[in-house]
Amino acid sequence: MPRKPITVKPKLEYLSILDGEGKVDEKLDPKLDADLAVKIYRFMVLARRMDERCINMQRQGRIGTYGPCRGQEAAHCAASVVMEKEDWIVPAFREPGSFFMRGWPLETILRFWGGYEEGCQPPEGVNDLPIAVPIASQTPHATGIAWGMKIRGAKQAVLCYCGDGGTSEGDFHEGMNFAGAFDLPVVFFVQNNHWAISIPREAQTRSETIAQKAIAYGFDGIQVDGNDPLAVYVATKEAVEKARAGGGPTLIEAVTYRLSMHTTADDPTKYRSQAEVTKWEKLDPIPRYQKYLVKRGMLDQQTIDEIEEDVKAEVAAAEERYEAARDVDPLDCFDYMYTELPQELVEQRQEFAEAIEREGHGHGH
Amino acid sequence: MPREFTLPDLGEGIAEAQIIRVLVKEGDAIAEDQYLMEVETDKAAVEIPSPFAGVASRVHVKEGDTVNVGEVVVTFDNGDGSAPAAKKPEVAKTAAPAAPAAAPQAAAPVAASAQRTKAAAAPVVRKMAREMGIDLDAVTGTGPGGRVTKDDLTSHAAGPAAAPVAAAASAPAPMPVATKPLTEPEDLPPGTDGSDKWGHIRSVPLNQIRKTIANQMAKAAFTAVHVTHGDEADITQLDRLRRNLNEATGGDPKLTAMTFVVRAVALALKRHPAFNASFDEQGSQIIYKKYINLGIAVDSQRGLIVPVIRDVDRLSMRGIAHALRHIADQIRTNQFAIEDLRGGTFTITNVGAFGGTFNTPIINHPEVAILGLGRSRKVPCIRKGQLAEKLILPLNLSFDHRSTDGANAARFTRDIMTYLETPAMFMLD
Repeated sequence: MPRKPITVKPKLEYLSILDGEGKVDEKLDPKLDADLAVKIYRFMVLARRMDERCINMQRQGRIGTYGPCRGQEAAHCAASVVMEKEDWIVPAFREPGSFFMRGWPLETILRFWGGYEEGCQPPEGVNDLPIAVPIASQTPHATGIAWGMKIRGAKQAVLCYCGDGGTSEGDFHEGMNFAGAFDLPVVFFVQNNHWAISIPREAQTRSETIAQKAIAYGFDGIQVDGNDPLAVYVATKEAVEKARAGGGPTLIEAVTYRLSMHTTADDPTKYRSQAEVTKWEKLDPIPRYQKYLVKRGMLDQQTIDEIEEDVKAEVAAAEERYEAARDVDPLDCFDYMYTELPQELVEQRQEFAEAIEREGHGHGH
Repeated sequence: MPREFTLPDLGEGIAEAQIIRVLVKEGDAIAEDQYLMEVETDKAAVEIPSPFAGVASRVHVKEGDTVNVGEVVVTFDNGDGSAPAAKKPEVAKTAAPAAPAAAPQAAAPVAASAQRTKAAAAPVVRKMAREMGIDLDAVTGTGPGGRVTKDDLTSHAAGPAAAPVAAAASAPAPMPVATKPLTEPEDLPPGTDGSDKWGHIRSVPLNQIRKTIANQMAKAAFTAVHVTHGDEADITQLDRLRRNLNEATGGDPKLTAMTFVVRAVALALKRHPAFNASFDEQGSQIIYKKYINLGIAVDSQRGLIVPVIRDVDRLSMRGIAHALRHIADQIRTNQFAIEDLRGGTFTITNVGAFGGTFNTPIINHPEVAILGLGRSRKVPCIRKGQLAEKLILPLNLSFDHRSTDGANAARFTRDIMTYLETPAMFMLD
């Protein structure tokens, strides 16, 4: 009947490869080939520019509430780039770069934020779930998909996003436990951006790290510098390969920071200090990764400018396509769920039609 | 073809916004995404970028206006020289124009129904209206921004009875108002000019900080049971000590009487936790705070604000002087973060800096007490049978009589005064 410490098998690590100045740890550098390295950079820039565009469009009344990703580009672009075509991604809502690199047209994402259900439609052959704003609803979904893969014996993996706030939800723990118990090929990727709307990370959980929550479910956790694309890439790559090889789930905590508001409906100056934001602005993933790429000779000023121009044109074109396709029939929203509408919905549809008749299009909400 | 830019819903379910600054003028050539104006909703202050490029042929709003979502804020010309088509009528402002002819109660429904196309109301009120068979548009909303409330429905259902109509009928004929007022007050904030039956007036909508102050004050005044206990501290010795210290240190940091008052209050609060607490009416309990965060009420460009010095009891006199200096700097540059204004447990207001000896400060809700300082002045006193000149600092402690009693307030004040009158006491704690 002794009392002694218990040692557990799962391991917990921290990984950072590129520092805030863009200096690299040579031993840990994954030495990505230039195409892949620049691809990550390009999508980070695209996510940033699109993000800026979306905030303006919301302020102009052209899309609805929008949740910006500024500062978190490395965390999601360098993770999603690891996923193969046959793998699945279960996104939350702060990963626009992930959608773009998987081939979602930019205007589809605009449509989502504009309130059009077409914004939830993945392009043919893309194994992504659409944007899901609910908190940690992603984990059970991803676990379910991973279970399907296991049953079919497919050598695929699922990448599942959620935020630091999501880790306090029951869904998060159910998904994690199930994935661990069934040894499923899923990688839980928590973008710890320090703020769940106005709740700071310190108030979210007593755990020192979010990564350590994996240990309770019997698998490995790793905390990475989420503003370091190389660390994010390496951790995700290892976790995905382990999952495909039957090694079970991993929890990755990407420590990053939301430089902008939670969504366009709140004012972060009311709950956090400018000093904190300034500190994190210095750790912005884009300039530090750019420095690294330039030093490695993978990027020069001309290419940087070209990428900016390309991205600008791409965003402008998407915006035009979005505007051109806005005149849809609001009544469509009743058409795709049921073969035969239940009586209650028939009445709602009728009421809605009358309201549109009365008040005209476009101001329904 | 002119294009109109209407105020979008800037948050989720925002009904209106107040214009803080207009950044463009009529006739300006505007680039796409150029900021047009800064507006404040009840959620956030945001800048609005222009959705079009073109010439702003008409700016429909000015600073201070409250604008409903969907109202036209700027009309753009496409820049090809074509004149804007027939001008839109002036957009309806939520600030009801003063109706000269009748009592406001009678005028409001008429004005409101003419302007409003769709009544604002919560879903529960809409449901209730449907059940009662009432057309919401026909009801006068008395809620924020003219929202229809449950009470409005009830009074509407009771019939357009006596009150408003009778008021209108019995309202005296308006006084003839001179076309130009004889005296014009200087520097009125922007608003809507009009007149009441006694003369010209200007209605100025409340800005966000004024609204917040009004709500906080009303909450405190109508929940806390205010009693103000007054006393006078002889700070002659303290003043001498202060001057000596400032001389010795070269005034870095400069010690003021406030520095010592803050320290005295911090030390006294440790012994009188009843004044470092909040009164929880719903929970039927008093919540004692184990930390002492002193709020210092100050007059800023934006109005009254109360920056907080955290854990003030752990600060040295020097630390307090620095903290007060920091607050003064923040006020001067108008830069303070919202978290600097939160979490206070007790407040000091130095109205005396502007003059006056006696005041009855309103408690800073949900705290339970506030100390108001008067202006210190030299007065003749009798000490040991001798007439002496003494420097006297008036102290006015308002406390919530629900949570503690007058004897305690007197003891607490006495304790503060002991430090101020015998400054050597500071060395003990």
